[in-house]
Amino acid sequence: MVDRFTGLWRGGILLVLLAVGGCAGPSNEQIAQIAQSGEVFAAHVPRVYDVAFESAVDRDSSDLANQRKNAKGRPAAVQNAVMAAYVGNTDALAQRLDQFNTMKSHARLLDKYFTKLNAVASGGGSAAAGEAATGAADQLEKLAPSIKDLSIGGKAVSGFVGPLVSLGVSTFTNSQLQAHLKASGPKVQEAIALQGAMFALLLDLERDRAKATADAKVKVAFDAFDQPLPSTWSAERLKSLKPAPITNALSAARDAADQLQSNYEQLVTGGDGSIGRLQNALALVGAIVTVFETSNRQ
Amino acid sequence: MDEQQNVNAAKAQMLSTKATLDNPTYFNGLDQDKQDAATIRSSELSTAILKIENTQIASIAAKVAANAADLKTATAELAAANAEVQNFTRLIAAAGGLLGIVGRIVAL
Repeated sequence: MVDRFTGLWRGGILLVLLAVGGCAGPSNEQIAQIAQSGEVFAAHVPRVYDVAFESAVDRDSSDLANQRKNAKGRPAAVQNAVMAAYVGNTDALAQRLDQFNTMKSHARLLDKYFTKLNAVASGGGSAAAGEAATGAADQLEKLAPSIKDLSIGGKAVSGFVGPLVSLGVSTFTNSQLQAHLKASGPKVQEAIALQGAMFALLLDLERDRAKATADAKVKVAFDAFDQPLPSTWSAERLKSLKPAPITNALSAARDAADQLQSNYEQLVTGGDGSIGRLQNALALVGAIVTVFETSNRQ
Repeated sequence: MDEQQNVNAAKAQMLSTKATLDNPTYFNGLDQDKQDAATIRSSELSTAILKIENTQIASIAAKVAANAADLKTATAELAAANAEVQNFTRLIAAAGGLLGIVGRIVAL
């Protein structure tokens, strides 16, 4: 009987050591919080690619319609060039759709990853184990009635068993998560960074196109010295310096990727993240993309 | 200037040329032959620009395709970690159950 009782105390001490020993690094709650943000990010990503693709197709359709208008009634060489552009551009846009689908599939993998991370970090295993341990403690009183009389700081030891086991399981979970973050964290950071890099590239492409169009508009009018400047010239010039609407969505998505990467990196390195900035960035992406989706459906 | 910078510079020139050719004020100021040439050149440039953009996009998409395997592995490792946690929890619960049985035997 005494041996069994001693064994149980050793088990209890082991749980205490486990609980105390695993306190360094991010908590399960912090990991769960970033994982939940990661799920939101991964859910927004495909929507951003969809609106970016729709924007590219709309612009190309408008361009081709303009070329077609200019080719109407003109020699075959002009019409053939416009037809070749239609075929070539359609093929190029189909390729782009494939590339965006690759990015969307990758985002779905990110979603699966963060869903699993959240499930492990915020899982109810520790509570279930605590309840089981409380039940065991009740049985322990039957096995060794003297345990009822044991107390620490005026509180019955039997009352500590459930919370202690719960803490032990929670700490064990945390140690598993931290080991995972150390081993796989860099690859997940790379995954987030690649999505961010794509949004940054698409943002640059959009800005380059918008700037070229706006510059031409302003420059052509300015270069025509035999003509007075149009009354809208100043407004057009101002417009040329402002970003096109689609750049807002891409810029917000790039910022959200940066914030997520930074917060995730803090989990791996043990620094302090900025969950507030991440959540704000994600909310902004969701709001802007929703505006684009709504206007595209009208 | 590296290759990427050359590509960017060439594309910027293409965008600038196309934007000028497509500008209605500029286009309407050309005679018919030059308008035809502008339409042909602008059409060619629209495809060329899309292809250059696709090449830039493809360079990141290729890295993403390679990273996808790592993400799957990371998710599988998490599933394994979750299984470890579940085993640990079940062990504690089983120990509690065993203790209960022993308690009942002792009580008899």
